[in-house]
Amino acid sequence: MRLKKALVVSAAVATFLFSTLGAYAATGVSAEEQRILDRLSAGVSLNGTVVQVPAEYYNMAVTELTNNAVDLTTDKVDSIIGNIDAAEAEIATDSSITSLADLKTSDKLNTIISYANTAANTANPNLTSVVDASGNVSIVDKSVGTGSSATASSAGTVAESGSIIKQTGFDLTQSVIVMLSLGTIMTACVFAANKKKLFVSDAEI
Amino acid sequence: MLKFKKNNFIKIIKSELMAYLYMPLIFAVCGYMICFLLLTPVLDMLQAMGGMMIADEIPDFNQSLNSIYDPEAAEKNREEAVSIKDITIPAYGTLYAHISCEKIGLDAPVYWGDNNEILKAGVGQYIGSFMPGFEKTILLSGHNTTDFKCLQNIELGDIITVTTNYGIYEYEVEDIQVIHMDTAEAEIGDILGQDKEQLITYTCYPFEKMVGRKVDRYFIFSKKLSGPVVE
Repeated sequence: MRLKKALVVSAAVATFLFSTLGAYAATGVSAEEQRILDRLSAGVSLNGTVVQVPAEYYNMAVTELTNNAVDLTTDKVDSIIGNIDAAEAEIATDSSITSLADLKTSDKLNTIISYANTAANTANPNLTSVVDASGNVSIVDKSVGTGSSATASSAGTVAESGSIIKQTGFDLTQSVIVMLSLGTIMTACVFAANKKKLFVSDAEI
Repeated sequence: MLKFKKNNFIKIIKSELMAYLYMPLIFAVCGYMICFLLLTPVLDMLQAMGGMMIADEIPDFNQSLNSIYDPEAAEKNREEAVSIKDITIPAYGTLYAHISCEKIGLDAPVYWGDNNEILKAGVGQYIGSFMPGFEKTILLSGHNTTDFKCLQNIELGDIITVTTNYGIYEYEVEDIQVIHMDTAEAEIGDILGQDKEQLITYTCYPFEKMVGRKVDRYFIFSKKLSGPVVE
């Protein structure tokens, strides 16, 4: 469970860093934006161990860069890559971090997250991170309309760190347990009332 | 005299127990069960209505905010390639395509994103995958009691059609597998990095199991047959 949480947080930080892609007009992936993708492809060095960015987060970055509403200038790309490099350098100051799991328990985690925030706001001041009850982190563009009430809670999501495979079936276990519990309580009440002869009239007592 | 008073007292206690404890409890339980059984089908609607009454802001019923799908537009484009400039990347929760397979009766809207709300409305696409035409993996999920219930009848060689605003894509089923969700998490994660366009649809398995957590997923892997390439 700790490892899973560590991976979620680490992936969220990675997502945050790699999804710092703002709302500027562009078409497809420009040459400048390709530099970010190349930097992601190179992976992140954790004290000699190169950790590759999970494919799904890379894909989210590509999709956002492809978005017609996104365009990054050279300065902004330099800033984003600079923050990735700075986060990597910060990790190198703690030789005990050699995996994403180590990063979670490290004192460096908050510093890494601050680099991610800086990069995000450099690219788009509307980007913010949202953590749900399960600890999953989403990167949300607050400027996107909420659409229908059904999707309001996730409107503007450009990246997320949750599971790839979702729950796609209904589980009536809880309903069955509730019904059985109610039935048990009712049966117990009737039994107790019967035992105390509460169902008989005063005339019969 | 004392015994008579004691008997009377016991009778009073018993009748009060019956009147103020057991009967109200029995009626409360019966009433809850009846209400639950009757209201379950409309509970979602009632919650939505209640949410509107106490909403912090005026709800926006403009459907164009969560749908960019235009079936007539798809019919017009029959080219082998389409420019990236002609494509709109949908926002999360936006209906942008349609999936169908006439043979098994599959006919459902496809939304960008796959959270619980979206899966209630239709088929959801994982945003870590790509839209059709990008020469990458398309990962779609749906509930096994609604939109993807018919997937249990699909066979190898069947054709699945995904219709978007910029083109109509056809995929041929080439593999069907039941995979544990934890195993699938790793395997699909690797597939998402491949430079090959394939459609992966999945739902919970087994289809008839309604009680208990489902840990297996029914995966259908389909290769691309036709559809414009996005340039």
